[in-house]
Amino acid sequence: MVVLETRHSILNSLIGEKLSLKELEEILFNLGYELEDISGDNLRIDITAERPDLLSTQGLARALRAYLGFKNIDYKVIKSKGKIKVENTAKEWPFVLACIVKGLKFDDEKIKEVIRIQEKLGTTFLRNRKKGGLGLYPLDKIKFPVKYTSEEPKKIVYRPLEYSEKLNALEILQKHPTGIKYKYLVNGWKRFPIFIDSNKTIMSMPPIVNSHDVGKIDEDTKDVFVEVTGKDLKTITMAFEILVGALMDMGGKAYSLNINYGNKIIKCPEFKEEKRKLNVDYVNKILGLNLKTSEIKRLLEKMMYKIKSANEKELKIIIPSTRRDIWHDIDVVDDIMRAYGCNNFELNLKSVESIGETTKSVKLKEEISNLFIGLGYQEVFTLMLTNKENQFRKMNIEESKHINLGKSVEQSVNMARNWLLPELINCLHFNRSVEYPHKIFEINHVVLPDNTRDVMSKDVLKLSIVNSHSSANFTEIKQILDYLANSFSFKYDIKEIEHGSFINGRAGNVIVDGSEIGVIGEISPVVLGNFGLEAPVSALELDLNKLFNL
Amino acid sequence: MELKSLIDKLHSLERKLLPFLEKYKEFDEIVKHSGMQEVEVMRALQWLENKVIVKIETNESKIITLSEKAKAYSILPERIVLKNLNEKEIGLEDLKNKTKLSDAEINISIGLLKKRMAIEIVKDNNIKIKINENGKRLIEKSTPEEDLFYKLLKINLNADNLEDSEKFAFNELKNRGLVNVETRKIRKVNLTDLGKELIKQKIETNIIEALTPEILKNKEWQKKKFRAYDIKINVPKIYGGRRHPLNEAMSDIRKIFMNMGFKEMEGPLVETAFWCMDSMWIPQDHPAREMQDTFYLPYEGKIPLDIAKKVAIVHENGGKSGSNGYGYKWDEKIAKQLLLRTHTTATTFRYFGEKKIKPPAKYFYIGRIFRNEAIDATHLPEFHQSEGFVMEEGLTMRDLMGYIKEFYNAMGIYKIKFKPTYNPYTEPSLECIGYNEQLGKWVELINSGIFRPEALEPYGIKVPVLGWGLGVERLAMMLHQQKDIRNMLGATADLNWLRNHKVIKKW
Repeated sequence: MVVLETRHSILNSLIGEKLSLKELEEILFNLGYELEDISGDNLRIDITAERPDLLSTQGLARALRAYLGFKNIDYKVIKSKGKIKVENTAKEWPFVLACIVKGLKFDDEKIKEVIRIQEKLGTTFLRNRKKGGLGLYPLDKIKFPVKYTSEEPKKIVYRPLEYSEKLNALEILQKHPTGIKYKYLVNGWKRFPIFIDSNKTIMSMPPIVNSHDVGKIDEDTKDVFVEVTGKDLKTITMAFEILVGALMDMGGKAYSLNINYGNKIIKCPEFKEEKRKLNVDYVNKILGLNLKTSEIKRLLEKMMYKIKSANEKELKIIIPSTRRDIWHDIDVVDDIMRAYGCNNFELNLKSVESIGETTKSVKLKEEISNLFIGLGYQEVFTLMLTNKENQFRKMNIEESKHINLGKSVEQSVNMARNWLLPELINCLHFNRSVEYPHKIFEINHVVLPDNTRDVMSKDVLKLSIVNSHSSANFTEIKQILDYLANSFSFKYDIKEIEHGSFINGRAGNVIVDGSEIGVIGEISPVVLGNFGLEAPVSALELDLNKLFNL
Repeated sequence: MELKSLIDKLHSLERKLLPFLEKYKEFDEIVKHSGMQEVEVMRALQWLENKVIVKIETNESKIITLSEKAKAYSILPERIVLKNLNEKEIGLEDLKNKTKLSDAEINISIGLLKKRMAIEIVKDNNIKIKINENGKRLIEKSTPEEDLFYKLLKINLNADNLEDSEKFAFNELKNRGLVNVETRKIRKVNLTDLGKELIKQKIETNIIEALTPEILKNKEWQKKKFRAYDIKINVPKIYGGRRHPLNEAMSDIRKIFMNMGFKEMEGPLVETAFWCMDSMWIPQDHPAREMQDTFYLPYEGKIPLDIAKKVAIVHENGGKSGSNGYGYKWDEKIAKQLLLRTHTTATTFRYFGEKKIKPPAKYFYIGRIFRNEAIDATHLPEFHQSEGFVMEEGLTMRDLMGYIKEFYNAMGIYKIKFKPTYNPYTEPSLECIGYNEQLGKWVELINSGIFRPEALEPYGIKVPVLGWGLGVERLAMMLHQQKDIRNMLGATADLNWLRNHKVIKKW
């Protein structure tokens, strides 16, 4: 979800109709967007990630105009002979597109909007400039032809935006706020990209920062040079055309430039419109409707599509150039649905015969839980993600095989649990002031490493029971094991063991059918101390996968 | 009749005590004469006071008692000295020998007698004492201190009740450490008007309190009355074993799916990026694959190369799905990365690819998923998702909406509305919002859509597949009006809250 910050008054003036907040909210909702916040004239609208073209007030106004039945200007680009020479580019940042937009009347609001669009596209669509960067310059400050090339960082010297003096590229990365912020993008690059005009003035160093002398737009600017550079041509074309489109919607006229890559020349912006043949039956099959061609045409036009021709079987459609989320006919059908209004459908429920069923694990968990509820035990639900402190050190044992996490935002977790008991004991810690006795249990998964599987791990269902009060002892926990074994018809043996978490001489392995399926015992005072507990604890943990052959 | 009802409810201790309250007012007296234990009397009086039958007055009094030191005397030392004096002078040593008193006692006595002008002290080489006329008179009379002392030997006195003459003596004895002053509570019990009326009534003392097996056996209950209980009073709270509310929510969701004929799936918590992302047409450079949201693990897994080949083609150019594809080079190494699954849809695609599900089919899953986020009041790095899919020829958007309406209805939500949204692997997609009558607000619980052709192509699925899901914790928090997820889940969960959480109305 991305947020568009816009102004109600400006939106309305671009749409050409005074929409009330309620009307605007409803239209946005029907289209799939949410008016999230209103403060006076300022609005915040949630836009979904596949529509970067709606990240500008102009772009959104265009979409709303079409929806309301108003015509939008075509993005017509005037051919010009202007050239950009591309040579010896930084291998990490090879692509560039550029054009000229004339006749803009920049007021304070428009400048803010342009900067907003640049920012928004940069942080979202261009992934914090990782994929590309946009730049605007007052045309009169630049002498054509312009070259897009690269240079060694130390040799790049210019005055960066909003800075008092000239710096070289490395100094910019260390001293200029934008340089510091985006330093990591050019990490390890031997040559940095630069735009340089025929006066040998350095215009900017993409994707970092423009020159203050020639790269700053103000209220006097009428004509601009717009460029985008980056790693991936498809992506930067999208960002470029959204920005240039917004400038045209602001009243500017776009002039194409010829980008000479040496082996090819690209004329841009293209505003290439993809064509598709849309089958009427297909539309109705997916939506479950009975739309006629004329209706489909009307709905598509509401969504900014153009119809080249149509008959009762199919429509030849033109996809708006700023839509890059149309991969398949189904994406067009989605737009038709939005125009139709998804609350206008008559609901259906096609019968699909099948019998409901659940899994062995679920059924088992249900039955065992019932048994323990019957004994007055409170079920708890602890977290899978935990840390080695809790799982091993505080339990007074050596680390056993477990799944480590990679980088984690939450600092308190570094592994997936391989047994439940420490988490339940931790639960006793947090609830040590709550009325005793503390009788708790949990039936849930742990994760164990397993090389034989494609995911190098196995999920094991475990049962853990913990009993704590002033006279908690082994007898109680063994009674529970007996009750469980009797109810579920299995026989067990106990083998005496030494286990750091339990009191010596009061710990055992539970053996069923010759296989070790769990531990039982009185928890060691060392462990109780580690968890800050003041009452004795007796506990049991069983591997249900082994016990019940899951 | 109020009085009768009151009498019927009187405890046997109250009944036993009442007769003594007419005559005796002071607590100690009541205990002594009734022959009951102090704790029994206290309890009975409290009950009687609650019923406004008596009023207990507690006053603090200062009680004077003899100190341990004083209790050792039968006569005060100054009297002993006086008795052993005569007109003839006597030295201190001799006096000590005669009286068998200590130096301290002799000195104090001499000091006192001097103050009383009962003796003459002659200072020669040694100090000699002899009695004078005044002193002779004193032999016949006791001092006020002695009077008080003898009184205290018999009973303790109330400091407020001392006569003026005794007050001076009291201070003297106090200074000498012969008396202690204790603050004691004196309880006085007064009958109220109700109490006075009650006492006139005939009150049976021989009643049954608890019905015991013995009373049943010897049929004593046939001869005696049962004490009536005040059945309206509050009793101590209890609690029992309860299921965890999250499991209850999962169980409810499971029931809805099963009632609609869905079969439950099972899949691993640790997944390959292949099954979790690539298999369902999420591109390898999608923002959701970034570190911020996903728990990547430092291990590499294995992927099914035959299916992977088919998936790669669709990513790169759409394959036979009719799609443009993403136009990038698919990387097998990225797909082999292991991570903690970010949605249960990974399992759905395993069922498409490994179990080769064929239509007609309805499956669901409720499982744990993980997001690499920090813990706060509404976020945990792990939670549960439930999702279901319907695979069959001829399904449409109208059916998707119909299934969701059925699902919501089964949850008791009848007013619903849809909003278009975006998911990378479904198109069209809908957010489904329902009106919760109990909370009085719209809640967005369900996300849904039709699986994209690109996502289904590698598995040869040629019929529509409808899918929807909801977050279990979100639902549980909403139903229980719990604002902080840490109170409900994890080791931090509040055991009190778990024990006392309300049953959610499902009827």
